[in-house]
Amino acid sequence: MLFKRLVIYLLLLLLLNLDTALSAEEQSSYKEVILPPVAAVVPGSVLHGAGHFVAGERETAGELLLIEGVGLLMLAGSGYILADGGAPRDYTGPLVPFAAFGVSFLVLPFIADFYGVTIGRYRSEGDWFTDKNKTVTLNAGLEYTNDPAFDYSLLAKAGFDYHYKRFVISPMINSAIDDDTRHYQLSAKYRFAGQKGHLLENYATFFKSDAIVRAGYYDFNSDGFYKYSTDISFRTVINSGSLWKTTRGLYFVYEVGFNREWVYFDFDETLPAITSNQILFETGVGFLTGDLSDSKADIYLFYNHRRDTFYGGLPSGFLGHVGASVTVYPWQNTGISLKAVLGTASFYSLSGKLSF
Amino acid sequence: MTKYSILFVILALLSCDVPQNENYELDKKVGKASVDGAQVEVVSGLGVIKNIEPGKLEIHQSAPQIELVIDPGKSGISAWQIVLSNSVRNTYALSDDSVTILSENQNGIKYSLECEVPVNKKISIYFKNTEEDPVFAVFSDVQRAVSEVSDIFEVINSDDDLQFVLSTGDLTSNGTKSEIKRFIKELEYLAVPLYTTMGNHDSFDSQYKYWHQVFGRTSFRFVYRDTLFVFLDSSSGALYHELYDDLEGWLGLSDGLKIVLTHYPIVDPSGTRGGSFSSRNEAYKLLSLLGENGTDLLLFGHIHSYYKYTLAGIDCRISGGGGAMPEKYDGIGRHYLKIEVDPDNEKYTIVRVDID
Repeated sequence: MLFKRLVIYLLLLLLLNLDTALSAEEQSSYKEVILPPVAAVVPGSVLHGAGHFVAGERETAGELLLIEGVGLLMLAGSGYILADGGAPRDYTGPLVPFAAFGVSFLVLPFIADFYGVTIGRYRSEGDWFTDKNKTVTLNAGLEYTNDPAFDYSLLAKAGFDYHYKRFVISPMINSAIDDDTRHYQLSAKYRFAGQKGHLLENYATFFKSDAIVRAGYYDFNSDGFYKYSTDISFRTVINSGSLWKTTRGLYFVYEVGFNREWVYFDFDETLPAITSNQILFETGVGFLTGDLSDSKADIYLFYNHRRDTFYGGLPSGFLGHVGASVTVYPWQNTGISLKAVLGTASFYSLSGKLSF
Repeated sequence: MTKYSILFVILALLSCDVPQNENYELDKKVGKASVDGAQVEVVSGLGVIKNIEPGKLEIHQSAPQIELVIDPGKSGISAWQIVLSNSVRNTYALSDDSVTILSENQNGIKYSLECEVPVNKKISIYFKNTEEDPVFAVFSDVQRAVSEVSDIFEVINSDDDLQFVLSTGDLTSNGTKSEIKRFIKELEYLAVPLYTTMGNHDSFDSQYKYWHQVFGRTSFRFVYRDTLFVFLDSSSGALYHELYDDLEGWLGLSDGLKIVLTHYPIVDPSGTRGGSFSSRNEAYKLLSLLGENGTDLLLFGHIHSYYKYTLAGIDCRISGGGGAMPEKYDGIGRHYLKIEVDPDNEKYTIVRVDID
């Protein structure tokens, strides 16, 4: 609990010291400042884009409403097939990303609308900086978790990213400090679309896409099992500000992929491995704080559908985990991240990045 | 505004923690009551004390055989009329010479006993039966189909071999009091007792206390004809932490066959669907514990179909044919499983009995 309180305290300190996005003179007009945010909530929570409509941004409002409609159709269609079919074994897996995309298309226009009329439209234009020339980024941190099923509570993580042209190779280890659980992972990423970016890599102009391959080995020594895991996924970051100028500083993330794992048990290593597949899906929304040409922090909220990590899934039997992270860049080559995740376990981490 | 709104979200997330399972605490209270200083206890919580008055006791059994301990204290109560419901056929009482059995009577699944006990001595009464080889039905996942569940009971009633019915839960749609009462009404048609754990649908309305008053513990175990039956509450998609310690002890209670029932499939054979435990790591930890301690058969519900597969060398069945929205395209409708155990040879046979 001490660690959790420390994280909360650090977050408070951090956020209260960020540059503010609104200036007093920009809030001079009641009609311009108050009405659009109110409309973004009512009726905006049902008709996304209402805030922009009231603010006079009719084209943006129409597009946000259209995305909401697409989301509704995707959710209703996949939801109907899932419900009517009783979650059939052959269709449920592929339909989950459709349903999840549907939910995200329903939610994200609402966020974009509200963000646009409260923050985004007051933000000055600025060139988002990318950090293309670093070769190595070191990552290290401490993680606290409360998992009802496992004894470990404190983990240390360490790894690095090695950048070569459009490739990034990232070995990483998570090791429990108060238990004998270990997790080793090697990931390789190829940027096949969009700008290169290393440390501050959320700031591409329109979007960027990576193909990612991960291989992992989890050893839960005293819990009697170990497993190998492999993923392939595609991750895209979309700069919302390049679509709608009122949403400068906002970005959306989508990742879709496939995972397979092989599980072995210490009590009888002759048993054939349990092999299990998993659809990977992550969607999130983030934004940069302060002056966009020199942002010192970004905040990211996400939903991730996987349930095979230290986080597990939300209590339900079919959902993944949710989380939030705040990354602060006091200097261009240094980042400090705070992350909170909630699944079967609650999970809080504090980590640092150093690029050179 | 930027920082404060996001700060609110992050702090809300950080303040979230893994929900505690109320069922574990409630389980510990099941089967204990007192009147006028006399204390009664159903050992291991294998029965719900529905009513207690001086000299009168009503118990709903959660297992075919139970042990009742009466400590008269300073009450001076010497004559007891004990009524058991949810009893297997051929139930009889057994105790030491200090207890005088005046009369015994059984009508269907209701058994009654009149006896005299010493006023200054704690005594145990064992309610046993003739211990035929276990033959039982397993059915789960009724949910909204409660009005049709009598069809299944009718088929079960027509099979004289069946001694009791086991369920992995989801007997109601949302677990409201009125739904539980409605199901109890339907249970009046069932000619044999039903022992059950809780499913996720039974927990939606958080009527945990009422569930315990009606059905008893959500996690429990009993041994019948050297065969161990363990019920694990996975209604939240996970087990509560304390249950792991209990489980290790329970699995050592018998050298015979070990049958474990829980609502969620520990691992869904269709991994991309993931209708299983919320954390895959927890699932493997549990399988390691079950496999290492010689579990022979795992019985699950939750998925409204029938599956036969193996996990960690353990024979598994998913049977969710109680009438809830069926998994389509597999040709499997409403059904229950009939399981015959041969304790002497530690073998069993499983037959799926289709209703429609």
